[in-house]
Amino acid sequence: MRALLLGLGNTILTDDGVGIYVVRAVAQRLEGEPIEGLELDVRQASVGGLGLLDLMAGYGVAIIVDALADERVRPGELCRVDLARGAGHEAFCLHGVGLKTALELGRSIGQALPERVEVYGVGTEDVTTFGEECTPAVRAAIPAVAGRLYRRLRALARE
Amino acid sequence: MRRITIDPVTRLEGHGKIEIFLNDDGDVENVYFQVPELRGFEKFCVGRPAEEMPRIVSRICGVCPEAHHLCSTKALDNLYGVQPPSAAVKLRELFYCAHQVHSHIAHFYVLAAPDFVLGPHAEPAIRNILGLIKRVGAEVGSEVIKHRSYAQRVQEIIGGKATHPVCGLPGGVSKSISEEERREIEALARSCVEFGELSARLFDNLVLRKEEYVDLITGDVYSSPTYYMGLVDDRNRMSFYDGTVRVVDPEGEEVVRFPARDYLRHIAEAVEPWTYLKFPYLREVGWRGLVGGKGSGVYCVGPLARLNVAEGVSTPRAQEEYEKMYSTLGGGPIHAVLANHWARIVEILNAAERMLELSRDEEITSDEVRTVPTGTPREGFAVVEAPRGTLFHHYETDEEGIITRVNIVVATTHNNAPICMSIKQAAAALIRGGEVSEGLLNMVEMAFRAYDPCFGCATHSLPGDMPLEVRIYDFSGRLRETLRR
Repeated sequence: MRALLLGLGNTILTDDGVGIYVVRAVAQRLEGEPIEGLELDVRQASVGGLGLLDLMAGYGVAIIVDALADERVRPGELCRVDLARGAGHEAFCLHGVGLKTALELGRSIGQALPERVEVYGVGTEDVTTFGEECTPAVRAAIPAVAGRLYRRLRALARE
Repeated sequence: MRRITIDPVTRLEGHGKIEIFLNDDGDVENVYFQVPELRGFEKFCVGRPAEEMPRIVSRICGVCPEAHHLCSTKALDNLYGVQPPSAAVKLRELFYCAHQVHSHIAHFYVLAAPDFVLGPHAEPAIRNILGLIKRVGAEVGSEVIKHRSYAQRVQEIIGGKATHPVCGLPGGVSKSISEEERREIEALARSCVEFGELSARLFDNLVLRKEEYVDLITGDVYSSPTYYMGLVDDRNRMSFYDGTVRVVDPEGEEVVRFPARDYLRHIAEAVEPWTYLKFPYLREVGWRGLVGGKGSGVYCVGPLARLNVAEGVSTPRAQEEYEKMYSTLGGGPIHAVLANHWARIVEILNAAERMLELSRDEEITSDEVRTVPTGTPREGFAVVEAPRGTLFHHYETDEEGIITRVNIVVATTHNNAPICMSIKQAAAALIRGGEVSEGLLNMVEMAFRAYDPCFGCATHSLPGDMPLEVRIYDFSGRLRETLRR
């Protein structure tokens, strides 16, 4: 199965880049400990909505990691975001559509999009100040979050 | 691991919030919309080499990185006093036309068209791109996605990356294009012109042939006479990449034209006690508050403003559409803010036709794409027309080219006053004597959507459904009602 691990974010907006830092950490681990049985690409991007369609086309499964700005989630906490319910993952602006709508749109016109899309969010403290480093709590959580995603990928390979 | 459902109410404070203040008769007194503020940009840039700016600024906005990248590159040309070779200028313009096509396609089909095709009063659940495709057919949807990708591909070939381009250097671009790439771009551009034609036909069928929509566009609720600002070439034709800033009054008379370096001589910023937002206005005319007309220095930028300041566009098919627009909506500057959507169609056509012209230019594959700068840096200014309107970049450096000061004025900032005024007009039509009519959210949404305001899109962290929230306050400042989508 072709799988995509996609980190989203902006690496000059403090915690906004955490999704990218996490997939970089996963990629590093994969170099030393590759996962058998999974044809995996690790990518990073700073786009949302429709922009994600081209990135995901052709994969059987996509795992997306992004920064999560939600007062219920602690900085550095990893959450699974339920796409089927609620507002889902939307680009943080009025200019486009969110992931849920983008996927529906892509499928309605016959694009080869992943059957399974899992979205993970990492809690943040500050996503509106320019800066190239995460806040301490988020930074400290990156190795553990990357470890959990690595295990998720390994489980996926065994399915 | 926790599973989390994001509902539109839980999100960062201060996004997409509109506040309406009523007077003691219960009528609308003031309206403003709140945008998230990104902090510390200047501090982030100060101390860095100026050459890093084009790559940094392309990350401050998730929707128009290309506009910032090019404006920044032009500011570096100016900073180092260097003139790029003609082929480099053409490559930049070709790249930039592709960006306009890319951006306008998304706005028109995803955001604007559903209001007209499904009707402004349709439920938001179906008033979206999916509802649109159900109505007009999956082929149109495929064309939309396909041409967005085509425009993206052209940006990638020239820009070096699909998003966050890396091509711009002071004095030119980092690489030339091969004959094979030129042929690919030509084919993509030809298809984009056809797509522009299709869009014009769709607009004609779906909007212009329906009297109620034409009435909606031309009606008083969405009419806002102000000054207009935009770039024109030496023949006063609309220009995206370069030219002179031209300002016309609400009657279409030229008030001033100026190069980028004079922007602060003509644009000042007003502060109002009830919002932290600043309101740019024309210094020559002065600030009279959130009012339109000739006596008020409020001006507007964006697709409609660009066409209002111009005397035409540079390519034949777009010129036809431009003439049709002005003859249908009644000559002179058009004050109907919803006509921005039609202006985007004119601009898709113009940008696509220009892409095709440039892709056939003999010089476009030239290897001479860089003039190495030798001047001592001090201060650099630049202006481009971003899809959403006029964009200024202004940098100061020390003699080593290290940034000491940065100022960027983006389209949504220019449009602060007009956006507030349009929302106020829409709100005033639906709130009388303290009574709020049905449909307020829809009408307000259509007003600000026409400007396509950018809410600090640099960040796209979850959740960002941008649910619209309208808060209505009575004359004593007490929150009376909150409407949410």
